[in-house]
Amino acid sequence: MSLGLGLALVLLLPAAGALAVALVPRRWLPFPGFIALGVAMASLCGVLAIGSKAGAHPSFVLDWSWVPECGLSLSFLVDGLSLFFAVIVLGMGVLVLVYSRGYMAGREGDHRRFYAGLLFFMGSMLGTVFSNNLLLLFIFWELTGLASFLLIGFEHTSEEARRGARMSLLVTAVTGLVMLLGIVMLKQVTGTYDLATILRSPLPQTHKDWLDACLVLLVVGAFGKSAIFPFHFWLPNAMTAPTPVSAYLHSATMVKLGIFLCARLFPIFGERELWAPLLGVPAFSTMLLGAVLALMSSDLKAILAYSTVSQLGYLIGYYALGPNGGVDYDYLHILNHLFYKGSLFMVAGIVEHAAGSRDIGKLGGLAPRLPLTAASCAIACAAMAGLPLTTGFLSKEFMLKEIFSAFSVHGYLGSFAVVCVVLTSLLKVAFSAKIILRVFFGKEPETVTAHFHAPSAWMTLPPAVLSGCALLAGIAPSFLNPLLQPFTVPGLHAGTAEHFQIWHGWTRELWVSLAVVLAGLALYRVSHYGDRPCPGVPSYLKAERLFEWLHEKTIAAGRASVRLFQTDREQSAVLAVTAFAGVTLGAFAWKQVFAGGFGPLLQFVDFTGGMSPLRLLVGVFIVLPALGLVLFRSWGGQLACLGISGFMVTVYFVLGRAPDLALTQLLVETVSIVAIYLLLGRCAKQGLLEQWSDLPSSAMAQGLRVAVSCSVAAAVGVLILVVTGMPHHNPVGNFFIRHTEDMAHGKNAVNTILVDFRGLDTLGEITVLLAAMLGCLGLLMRYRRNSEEQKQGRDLTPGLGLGEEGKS
Amino acid sequence: MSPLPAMAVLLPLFSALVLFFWAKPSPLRSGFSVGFSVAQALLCWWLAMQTRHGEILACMAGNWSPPYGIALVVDPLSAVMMALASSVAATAVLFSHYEMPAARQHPLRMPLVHTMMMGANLAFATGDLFNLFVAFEITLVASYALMVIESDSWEIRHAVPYVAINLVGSALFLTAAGLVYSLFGTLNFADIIVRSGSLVGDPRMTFLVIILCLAFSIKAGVVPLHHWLPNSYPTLPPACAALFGGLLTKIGVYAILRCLGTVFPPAFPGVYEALGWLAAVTAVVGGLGAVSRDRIRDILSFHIIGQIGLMLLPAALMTRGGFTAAILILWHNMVVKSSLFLIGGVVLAIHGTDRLSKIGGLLRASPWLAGLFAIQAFSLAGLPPLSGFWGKLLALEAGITRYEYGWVAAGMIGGVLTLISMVKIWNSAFAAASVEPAPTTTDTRLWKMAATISILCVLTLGMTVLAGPMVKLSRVAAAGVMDRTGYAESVLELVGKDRLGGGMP
Repeated sequence: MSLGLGLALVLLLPAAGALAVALVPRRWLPFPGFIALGVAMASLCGVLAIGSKAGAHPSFVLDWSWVPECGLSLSFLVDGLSLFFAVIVLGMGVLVLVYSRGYMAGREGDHRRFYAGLLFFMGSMLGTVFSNNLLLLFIFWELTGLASFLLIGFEHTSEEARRGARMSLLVTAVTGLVMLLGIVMLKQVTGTYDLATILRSPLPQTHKDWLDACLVLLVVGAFGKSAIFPFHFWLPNAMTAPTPVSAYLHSATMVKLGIFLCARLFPIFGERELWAPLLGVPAFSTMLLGAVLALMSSDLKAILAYSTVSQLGYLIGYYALGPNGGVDYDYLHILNHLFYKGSLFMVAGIVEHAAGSRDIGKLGGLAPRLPLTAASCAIACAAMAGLPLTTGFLSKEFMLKEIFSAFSVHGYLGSFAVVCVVLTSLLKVAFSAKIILRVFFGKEPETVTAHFHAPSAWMTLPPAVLSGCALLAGIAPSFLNPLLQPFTVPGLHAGTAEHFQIWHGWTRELWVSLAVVLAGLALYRVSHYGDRPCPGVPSYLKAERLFEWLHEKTIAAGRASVRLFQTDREQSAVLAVTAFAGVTLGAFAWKQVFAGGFGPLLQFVDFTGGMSPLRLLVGVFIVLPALGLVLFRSWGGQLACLGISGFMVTVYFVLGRAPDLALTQLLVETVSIVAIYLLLGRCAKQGLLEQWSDLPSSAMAQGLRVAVSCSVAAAVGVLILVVTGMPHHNPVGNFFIRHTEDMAHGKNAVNTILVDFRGLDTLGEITVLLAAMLGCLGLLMRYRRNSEEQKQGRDLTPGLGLGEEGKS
Repeated sequence: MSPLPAMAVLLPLFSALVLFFWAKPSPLRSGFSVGFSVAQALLCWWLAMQTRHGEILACMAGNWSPPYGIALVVDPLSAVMMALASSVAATAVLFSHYEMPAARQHPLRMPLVHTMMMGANLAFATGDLFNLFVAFEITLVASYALMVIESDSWEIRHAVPYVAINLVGSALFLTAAGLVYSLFGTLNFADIIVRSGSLVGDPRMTFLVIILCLAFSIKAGVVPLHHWLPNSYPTLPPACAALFGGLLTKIGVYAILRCLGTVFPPAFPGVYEALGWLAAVTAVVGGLGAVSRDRIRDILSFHIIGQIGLMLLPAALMTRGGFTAAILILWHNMVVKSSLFLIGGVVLAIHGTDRLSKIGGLLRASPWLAGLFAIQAFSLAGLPPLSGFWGKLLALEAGITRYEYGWVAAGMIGGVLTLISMVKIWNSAFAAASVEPAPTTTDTRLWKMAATISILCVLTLGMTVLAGPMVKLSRVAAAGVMDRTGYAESVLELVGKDRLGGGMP
């Protein structure tokens, strides 16, 4: 089997699995879980097979065309980084799916939605990490966000879950949009979305100003996804998701996408001056902030969420200070976090399941009841605290070592990083102690005793496996070197990794570690002395409040904008539209006529328009009744004025020697006046007119209307005079007049134009009349229906009587 | 010369007339209506297939050669617009067949819908400015009628600004058409193209472009000319709202593209700049308005405005890429918008209201509907790889390459606001538990309505999977719209009966 086909299978399997799970008949209850597990395992085997077949340091691209016009192809890059992340995604996926069998037991009705969501997520994750095309990467990136939205909102009847889901979606989508802009700009700079091509060739030196902008925009996307300050707040709020989801998406995989992106960008942008401060300052600040908030929290999942935020800062910070030649220990840090945080989240789920609470203050003494879980938790906490014999220790030692050496390169940033890392390590020791001591030791509260029921092996085994990995790799770290070595990527990794050992001698790092552990324990002792409850996160540190405030303000701004544009006031709406048209045209007329834009054209304009006294008189009679429209308050009077004005136009046409036009106008005027009179009369009888017209009757408002009308008329009038001042020398009308007899076989050009030359227009106008007639008919029928409706009642008839609740 | 464009105009006129005389609603009549709208859709898709490589199909009304007679000209943009419009219309017609039992259907709705379709097809097909005005009038007057015939005394209030403002627009358009004849001596698009060459730089032409843009902007609902839209659409019956939302404003946008791209030379930087900023304001204000509303159909109606802004933003760049993006967003929007209105209609049918605070629990009650909504809503929000994403991507690219950072930012804000309001609907109507338990409807009509909507959903997904050909088609369409000489040549080379005898008379 070729690699391409294999990869396609690996990528398609989860998607197909998701579809299958979603469509499984409801009565096949145990199937969704097993299908999902089978799919994950098959994909994992597939990825491992691809990895082994590809050999050490693989780097090849598979390419299928999709949207060539946008520069997008289904292009996948198989290299160490993508394989490493794929193995993590699938390996963790298998464990989480096993765990979910226990966690979701008893909720069979929701299985399909749950497992379909997880598989959908798995597929989009795989797509993201394998993408070779930046646009494709973005597509899968957003799909992971969508999956996350659906899974956080899994308990969709809970208000909190919906809020958390909304927050995560909006934060990741907005930052994602910014990232898309960065990707598009990068394409403009490099000419391609193809990652392998960008990685191969050095960045062009044109568009220098854009390069830094691209970097910033891309990094904003990474920060949003990886919950780096100032976007860190969505992650703790995403903890309303079911625990397997939190363990999988919000600690092990999805939030690592930002780190993945930084790893991908490192070879491209790593040497730019902006790289270290842009990534480093927010990352290390986030690390410290997350740790502080974790220590303050009392909810088990909140502690874990904040510590994840902290650890994500740690991982991105690591890339920030990485030497130009490449980093060496990023996989170690990632694996370490995967082991202990995955384990801890699952433990949190077990504890909640078994004891009915996640609040540290309401838990205690669970160790005898849950020995395996307690052991898993203890190892994971030790790894989090960085105690020896765990991967956490290795991770911390190498981090400290590199940071101490970066000290000389990065100046202030280096010292900032050192301070942050040391303080964070200290805090981590403290809240690790808090978790293990408060949950598993001490006195068991009665509520726990009352609620306790033992978890199934489906739940307890996966965290044990993860903790076991952390311990095993900590005891025998030399295993890890050959394991991680094939995944190295040139450009990202320097390939100078030291051999991992338990004992590196009495180094500076070890002394610092020792001091940190002692200080951390002391901090825990002081801050959580006795039974003092956790302070909780003070509200001024809850950035989500700012987000919610912004959300509310957006809605308020929406209301304000609706008011500003007078959208809901029918009468002023017409005025506003007319006024805008008038202002635009008036401004243009002013500029052209009075500022000389029309220049020589003005000499052709006959502003008197060949006015004879008779025409002037008729003109006055057209305008005068129009005044009546303003003055009369009753619709009858207004209609009469309108009619007079219209008939006077007929006279004007006669004076202009256009008898057929005058005749038409006469007919139209007559018919429309009669029709309007009949319709309005009918409405007036039913008292509907008062309901509909709420014309403000103040003189101000009326004056405004008159002013707007007059100015529009003036602007349009001037412009018409100018435009028609010098008409085209050879209008097509000449043709009609010349050939009306020999070609259209009619004596009157107007007639032949209407029925022959431009017959289609006439057909259209007849159709207009038909539609207008139907409308009038409908208006008449409407009222008859209304009276019948009283007897029928208002049952479910959309369009016929619905919408009454809008009247409120 | 091909008779197809004329057939696309005459077919709905024929069915409108038949439906008018066959007044009594019955299942058979509905079947006739559905059948003819499907036939019309097939015809239009056939047209689209014929023009997909950029061919121009033209025919002469009355066999008078242009510019003397009226030419119907169908290029890729027109053809695909017609195809999508008629597909939307066919779906809406089918939906209104299920919306209520045949005996209770309004006898005038179907003739008016078919009349409106005739106007729409004419608007897309015509190559003559005054004929375009006539086409606008047909759609508008039919829409006025549709707006009032099924409304009650509260709803009809909102028809007042609808009619009044659109009359202002029509007056502007008519003025412009008269002045165009005065300035160019012709109304035929191709002839205007030829004759406008000597008038570049003449402020009179600028004035005409401004006044036409104003008229079309009113039809399109550009802020601050949008007041007629957000309160009137929600009062329509859902099937009609879907048709209006998918069609009417889009004709305005089409007219702007045709007018600025084809008819007039690209020589009005000030107008484009102003249009771009108006579009930016439209995108943001439309989005904000949508976020602030509390009923599904109100939100969707305000969205139309925001989306119009998002279409016009790239169009105002006046580049090939910008037009491509605008056209793609336009096409995608026609399908997505009308299906969202239809989904709103189903919600209305289930709950009897679509006020978000009073409904809920639809995710559990009808997961199928939730799925349809999710696809269409996220597509509207431009989530990749759904159909809305491609237009967004091209628009970003087009904006960035012209360094219009302000417009890009406005477009992005508009997109985010769309997402916020879609999440608002999702969270309240679908995810949240119902405040009042929904009446358990086992009515099969609901299923049929949902099945009808899935037709449009399939179209959306098709535009997603076949994004490659779709983008290519929009590029071809954009190239066609901006290829002024090609357009003029292929129209003016037509030979009608006046030239058959011996050359030019």
